[in-house]
Amino acid sequence: IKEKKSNPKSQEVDSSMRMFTCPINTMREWMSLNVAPGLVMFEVFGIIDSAVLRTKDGAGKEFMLSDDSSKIKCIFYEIDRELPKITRGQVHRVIGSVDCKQNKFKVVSVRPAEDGERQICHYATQGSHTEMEELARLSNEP
Amino acid sequence: MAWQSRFDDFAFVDTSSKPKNAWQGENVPGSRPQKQPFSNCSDRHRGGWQAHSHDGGSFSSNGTNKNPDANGIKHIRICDLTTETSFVSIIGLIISKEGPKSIFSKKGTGTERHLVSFTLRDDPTAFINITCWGGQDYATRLSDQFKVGDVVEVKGAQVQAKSKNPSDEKFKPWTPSSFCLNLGENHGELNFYYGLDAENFSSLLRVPTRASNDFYTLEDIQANGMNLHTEHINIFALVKKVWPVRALTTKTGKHITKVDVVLCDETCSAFQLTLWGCFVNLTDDWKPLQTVLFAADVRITYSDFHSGMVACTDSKTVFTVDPDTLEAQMLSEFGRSQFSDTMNHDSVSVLESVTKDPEISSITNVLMVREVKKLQKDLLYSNGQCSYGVVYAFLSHFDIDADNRNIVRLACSKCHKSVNANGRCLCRAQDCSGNQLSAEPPSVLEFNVTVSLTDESGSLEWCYVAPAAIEQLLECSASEFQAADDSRKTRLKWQYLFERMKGVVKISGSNSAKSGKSFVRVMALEKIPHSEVLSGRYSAS
Repeated sequence: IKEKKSNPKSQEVDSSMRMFTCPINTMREWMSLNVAPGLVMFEVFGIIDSAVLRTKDGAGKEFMLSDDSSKIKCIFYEIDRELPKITRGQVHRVIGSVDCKQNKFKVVSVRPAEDGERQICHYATQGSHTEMEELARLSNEP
Repeated sequence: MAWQSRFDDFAFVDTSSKPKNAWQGENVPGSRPQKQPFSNCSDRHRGGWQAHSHDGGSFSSNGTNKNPDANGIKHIRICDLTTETSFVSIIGLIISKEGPKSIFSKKGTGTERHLVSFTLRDDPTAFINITCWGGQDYATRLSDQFKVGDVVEVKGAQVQAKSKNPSDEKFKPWTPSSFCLNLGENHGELNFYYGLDAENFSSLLRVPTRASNDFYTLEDIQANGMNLHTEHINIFALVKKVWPVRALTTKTGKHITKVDVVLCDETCSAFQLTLWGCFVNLTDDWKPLQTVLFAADVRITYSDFHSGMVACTDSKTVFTVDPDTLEAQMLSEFGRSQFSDTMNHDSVSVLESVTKDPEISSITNVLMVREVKKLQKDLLYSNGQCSYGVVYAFLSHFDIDADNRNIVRLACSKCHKSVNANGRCLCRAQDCSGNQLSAEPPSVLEFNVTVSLTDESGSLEWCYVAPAAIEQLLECSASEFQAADDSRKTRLKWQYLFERMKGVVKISGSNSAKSGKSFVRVMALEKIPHSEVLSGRYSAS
């Protein structure tokens, strides 16, 4: 009977896409947990930490993104637009999903961080953290 | 009867009214690539198949079927059939059924033989036709006993290589196997299969019988027009309406049933598919704007009555209902958004007279996506009740530069239902007075945009946005937008996509409490200054 009760509960976890705001290391840890039932995208605030180079196959552009916690290689595929101008050393707001196999951040949107976003980042990170913990707890339930 | 031309060994009656080979891609100049058997273009299709055999593990158990079971019978997998085997036993899921019907035998000077045929599948890539021959009672009994979705065990069926003569395959579903099976009243058996692994077969019912990208959008069918007349093609669409079943009597006195189904997809709001005979029963479970169909090999014809192309089933057709593919998921999401759209428009006059929406500025309660979904659930059977709220979320879907979707549409200036530009822009809604002469222009161009809003708790997908809200957001009218070039549309899109937005949403239950539907509509959408995100969304923090 217990099993039957917990099953519908786990099905109740929303499997639609989610967007979390968090530092790079949390993003990595989260993806390794592999508990989210649906697609997860991340908003990361960090510094562009390399020049922007075209990938060998010419399909995308790569750059490094770093924050206080870690750094990660980003790749941007120029599907419907070119990579906007980004400046090395400046804080940017980057949105994308993690490619676990290649340990890369597949970026879909990048722009310089704007005034006032630091606080948003702070609160949004807290909100995401709470949600992540809840999801992890639900998935660990027997 | 048309069936008489079906098999080699039976009296041939010319059905030359049907164009020969019209369906058989290789022989027709200008034929379409999708009609090639997919073994010939395996790369593309294999990819497709692999994507769907997500549950691959479940089929591996079939391998054990090769071992003799308790009765000492060896089961062979469909893909393992060879020319050396003459009689086989297999286990498979019925994915299509036809009959019972009768034909006159050439050998027995006018004796009537009865048959019922099934298509059996034991793997996403392996299915085979089996024909069961016998007396009238036998055929009727089998047909009554077994239906699509049953897992059956075939014992001692005769294996026959597919005929080289294409007209033999003309009236059978296409199968990847190069064999077909025959079963007779006196040789071989067809029984339900109750083995422990029977459940593993059920997922095969939701794998399309063709590569999941091998279909025509409804718009493409109309665009191809007469080029597709009498062709067999695959359709992937959403059920919009199922008309009542009708019983007819043919000229030869045969009783037959038919049902008309209206299909829609993102490119076309109405397309007629007629189902005949055996297929009629399938429609019992089809739900408007919920059920997604992958129909392999429906026949396309031109209809004078509809002044356009229509589709009907024939003996080649195989349905996959609610296929387990990403595209199907997207289409059913689209269905939900359409439901809200049509419901909104349909109920505008009724609802607004009873409960007028409050001023947008007066709606202030902040909701997370999860809370909106909870409300949506609560309002399922609420008979037209609604709630309002403000959502601060990322705009995660905003496809305004897509060229395969109608971002703007012509609508009746009175009732705001879509009008067709070909129909001289007159509103066809029965209860709308806009089709009478009036001083107002009969139709206006408005935005027809759906968006997704996402936060950490989930996404509200395919939400219809009020046309005025999009106009305000983009700061341009629908006609200006339509005239803009693609690069400008893409630039506009990226100004908002993945940005934090403030959306005012209306969550409402449908008017009919029975239908159990509720939907989310975006009344206002704006990109707000960061300070307002902080005070609005995180004031509680």
